[in-house]
Amino acid sequence: MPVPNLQIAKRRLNFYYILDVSGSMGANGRIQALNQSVRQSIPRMVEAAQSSPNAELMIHAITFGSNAKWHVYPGIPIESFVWQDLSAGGATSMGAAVGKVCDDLETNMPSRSLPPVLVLVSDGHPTDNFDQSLARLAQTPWGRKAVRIAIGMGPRHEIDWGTMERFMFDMDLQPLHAANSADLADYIRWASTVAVAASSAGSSTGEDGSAIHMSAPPIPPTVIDFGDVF
Amino acid sequence: MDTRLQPRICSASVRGNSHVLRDIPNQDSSCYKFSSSKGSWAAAIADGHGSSAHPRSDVGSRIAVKCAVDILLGYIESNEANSIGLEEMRAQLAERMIQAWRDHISEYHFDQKEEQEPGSSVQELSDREFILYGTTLAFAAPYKDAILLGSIGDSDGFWRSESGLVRNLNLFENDGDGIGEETHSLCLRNAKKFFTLVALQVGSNGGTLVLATDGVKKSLRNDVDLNNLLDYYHGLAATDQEAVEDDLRAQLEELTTEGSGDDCTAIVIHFPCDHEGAKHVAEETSNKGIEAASISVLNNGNSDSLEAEDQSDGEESLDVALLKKKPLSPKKIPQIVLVTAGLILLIWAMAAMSKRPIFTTKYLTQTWLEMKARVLSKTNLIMKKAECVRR
Repeated sequence: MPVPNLQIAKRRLNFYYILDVSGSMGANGRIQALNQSVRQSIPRMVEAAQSSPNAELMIHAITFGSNAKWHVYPGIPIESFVWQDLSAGGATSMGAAVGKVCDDLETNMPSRSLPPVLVLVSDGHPTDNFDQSLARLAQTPWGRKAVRIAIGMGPRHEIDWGTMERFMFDMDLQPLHAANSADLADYIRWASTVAVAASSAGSSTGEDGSAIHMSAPPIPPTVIDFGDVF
Repeated sequence: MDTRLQPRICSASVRGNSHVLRDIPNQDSSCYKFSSSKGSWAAAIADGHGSSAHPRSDVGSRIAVKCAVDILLGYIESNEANSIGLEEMRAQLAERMIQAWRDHISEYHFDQKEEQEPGSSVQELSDREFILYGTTLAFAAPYKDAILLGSIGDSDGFWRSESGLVRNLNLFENDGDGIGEETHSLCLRNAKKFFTLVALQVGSNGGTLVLATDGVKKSLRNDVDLNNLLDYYHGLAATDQEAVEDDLRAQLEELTTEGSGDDCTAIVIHFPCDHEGAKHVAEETSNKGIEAASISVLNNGNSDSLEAEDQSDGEESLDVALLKKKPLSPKKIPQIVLVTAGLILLIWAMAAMSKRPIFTTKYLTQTWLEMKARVLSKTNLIMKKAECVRR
């Protein structure tokens, strides 16, 4: 006999793309590669969502150039998600973007959600107070528990690896380096699907009983496209 | 043992939808036993961790509930806890349950190893090997005039009183932020530190205690739905105990399929209302707010971590009575006639003093409206007061 007035709900999994659209992203076809990579990741994310039918995967995207602004907000179910291309220009307000994500994690996350997934893609150094926003992310309960992946794109020496590593605090993973569009496509696809699976993998306990540690799944080998180096 | 604490117990456990899809076994376990000699009982649930770091957590949870129930029955019946406080009981139970669990896990682990590699040397299990079997544990048993509720990890304990009030006894959630997938576990080296123990005074009004793994709560939209679920099983257990187990199993299947996808397990422990002992049985009402149970809690020696209010049942009954329509008693008719006559006399006197005609339609209507406004104002005041007390 059904229980009267009972509403059963799937667990929400919020996925956030945090994407660099600063002026440097306009060079060497980086922004085009980013648009293409995100678009190509969608079918794989749909597959990941279908293999976890008890999770409701909601896609969000925020961009940062001279300022941070939501590109996809509020979250859209992956099944109806369509990517609108970005264009590059301006500074690198990465801290402001992380701050806006914190706003959302603090106010719009049901307590019974799965840990959110944050994927940061950037080719340079933040031009605002990134550390302040990062400290806030580390203090926000859902920020602390989020699966966080950072992907640096472009020449290795141009990327702020310190920032990338700090963004991935407490993770058993190192930031990823996408040297060309094929790398980027692979890594975004990997981050989009494996991180979703890791978020919904079930309960765990750390050695000290206080932290969850996502074990690092193997990153797929990249087929290098020699003709398309950033 | 207090005879009021003789419950009716039912349990069900279903494999999670996501576990079916990934070909993973049900990692939850439940167990309850009644002692044949002294009329005591004990119940336990355990939720084996689902992540890949704990591939044998189904074994871990099965061993955990069996150890917990056996230790509780022996502990209660031995009366050895008669002269000690709750904190000492917490420490003793934690130590015994953890040790028993580790012993049985070691035995199982080496049996398995012996089967796979006959003649392999027996050595002590490492912490890393215990992690393979990681599980939560929550248990309940009567002790004197209270129910002991213990837990480690994020499994839940809910108390639903006869009057419809719900209290979540999940101390893990109260302790931390209660979000995400992390949990305390029996497999931790310092597991004893995370054990909690609650003594719940049930009283004579009865109620229903539900132990549930987190798959249940995570399948529901919010606490309102949780209350609806508890209300339903409290009612069903009180009226048709035979139906609870099948109904519960079907409900858990629906929860995991349409909700969290996690394994779902629950034990429903119903304490019938003791009508002789109860001064008042509060009318079934959807208003929640007064907790009729008194609770004291111990977690890692901190006896002040939570102290619930102990509200008297009499107070609640009084407030319910204020809002309740009662049939007119024949004995009250003369009083009503006298009061009505007095009111008419009063109206007449007021009219005489103001030198106005009293039997005009306009005057009577005006007077009636004034009286109605006063009565409504007074009623609203009483209702607000009752609402405040309830909160």
